[in-house]
Amino acid sequence: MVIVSGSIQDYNVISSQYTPDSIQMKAYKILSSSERAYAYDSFEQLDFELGMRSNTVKASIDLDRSSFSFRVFRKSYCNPVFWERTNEGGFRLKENAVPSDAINDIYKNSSKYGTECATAMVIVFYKGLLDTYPEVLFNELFKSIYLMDWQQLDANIDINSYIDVIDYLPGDCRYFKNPDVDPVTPEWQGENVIDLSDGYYYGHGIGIGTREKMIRVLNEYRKAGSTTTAYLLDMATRPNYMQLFYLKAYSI
Amino acid sequence: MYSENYLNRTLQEEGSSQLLLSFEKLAKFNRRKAVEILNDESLNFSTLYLLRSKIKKYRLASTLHNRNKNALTFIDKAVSKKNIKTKYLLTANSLKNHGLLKWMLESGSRQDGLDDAFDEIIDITSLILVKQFKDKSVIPAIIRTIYNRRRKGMFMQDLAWTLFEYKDPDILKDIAFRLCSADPKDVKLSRELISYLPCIRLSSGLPGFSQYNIFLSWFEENRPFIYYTGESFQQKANPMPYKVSYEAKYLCKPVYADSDKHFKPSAKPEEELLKSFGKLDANSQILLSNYSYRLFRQNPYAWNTWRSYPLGEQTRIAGGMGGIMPW
Repeated sequence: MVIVSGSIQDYNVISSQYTPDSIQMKAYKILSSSERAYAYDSFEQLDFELGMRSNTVKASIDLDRSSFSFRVFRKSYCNPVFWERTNEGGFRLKENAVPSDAINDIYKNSSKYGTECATAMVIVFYKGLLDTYPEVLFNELFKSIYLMDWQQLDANIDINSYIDVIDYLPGDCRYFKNPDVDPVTPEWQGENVIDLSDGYYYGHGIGIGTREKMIRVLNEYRKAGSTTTAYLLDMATRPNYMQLFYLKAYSI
Repeated sequence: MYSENYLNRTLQEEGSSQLLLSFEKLAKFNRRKAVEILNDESLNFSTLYLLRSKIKKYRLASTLHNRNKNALTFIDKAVSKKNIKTKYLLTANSLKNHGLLKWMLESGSRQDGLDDAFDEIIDITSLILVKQFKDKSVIPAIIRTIYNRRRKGMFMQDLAWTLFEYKDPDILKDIAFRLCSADPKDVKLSRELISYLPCIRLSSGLPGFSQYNIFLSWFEENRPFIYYTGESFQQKANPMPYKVSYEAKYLCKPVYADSDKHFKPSAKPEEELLKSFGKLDANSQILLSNYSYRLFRQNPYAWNTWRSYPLGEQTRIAGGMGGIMPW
């Protein structure tokens, strides 16, 4: 159920705000039919989260359609106009680069970039936020972005993982674990994916597919003779939507 | 053990360019001697790795002994990395494979950082030794390499994952030991790798050696109940590869540290007890489990009596004792 400003919301009132097939609507349906109570201080706060989730899904699909490559950290590469590649294979925003331009460049000049799956997740979260925020605010808040799996994440976006989540929503990052991965390919120890809704996921390196596809591909990278299958963890990784909303609200 | 070889010494003291020049001269003018030094047991893997183009140029491969031949084949396959699997990198002889990999890691890791391909081979050999051969003796070489790489700002995540994948809580001790290092980068890395442990989190701000002492008390208290979770840096921002099972500590039953099913209550009454225990908040669980384990060690008879009380009464008695460490 969804509670806004202390009152349980009428499903029809809120759902009338969104088109039936939109990601916002799909996420809202899950929230409103849940046994858990999801409390928001205002409709604007709820709308912000739903909007950013929608933009994150779009950012995932766009990245999948781009020429952004899968590379292990040792062989990662980036556009040096905006990013400095560190010795460990991460991308650090250059001092004189505009954060929004640098994130957009990953989509615009995607063939100049290649990295692993976790970094791709951080990129789509940043892009989802950039498309939700006013550009000026984004540039003010994210002056020192570092892109390398989940390391050194900016405290403003405050991405955290939650276990045993009751409801999984479009825009959540999920993780397929491959416990018996072949030692030669540690990059396939698991796959971070974005929940695109309707049972589809985007994982960098595998592409868009169902749970079964993700598991099938990961299983191909198991050590010889293994019968232990890859599986989807009961875990969701999310930005702190409430904090991001208030950072925006107080900036205006 | 590996440092007495002339070629090893040249690499260590004069660098890789000089090694290549010296070997070229040797191969050209004294082929027999070149082969003899290459086949010397004390040759380091890193030296062989750097000389592979010269070995090819002077057609020396067929004169090498099996260890070196197998190592060169391993390098070729690993560097090409086209649809490879561990089984294609190794020979059919498991014992020989183990010896080969151990030599590659232990003699090679001393020159870690030669180039990306070499470091990747060190990562792969470490992973195979840990995950396939469960070889504890290579852990010090892996730890040394992780810290060396961090000092140089090089990629060390896969090796750190390898270390945790050994699935033995004792590696926490090896990491914590480096909190006493004179190098601040070592201390910082140790803090990062075990930042999730309550004893490290709650002692942040203290000097490394103080944190190490606090860690030791915590470790001694909790060692039988620490298990591997499988969480990694690829999976989340703040992975907790090892956790304490407070359920097991409460029942005073050691866990299987390396198993997904690390702990299982043995009888119905224990199951019931744990159901109620699971409903408590985290702080109460810690309080009860700490009290339970201490009482168990001090006086098993008193522990049995205490455990027969309802949970509320157990909590009241445990809370009344006070002064229990917050982990």
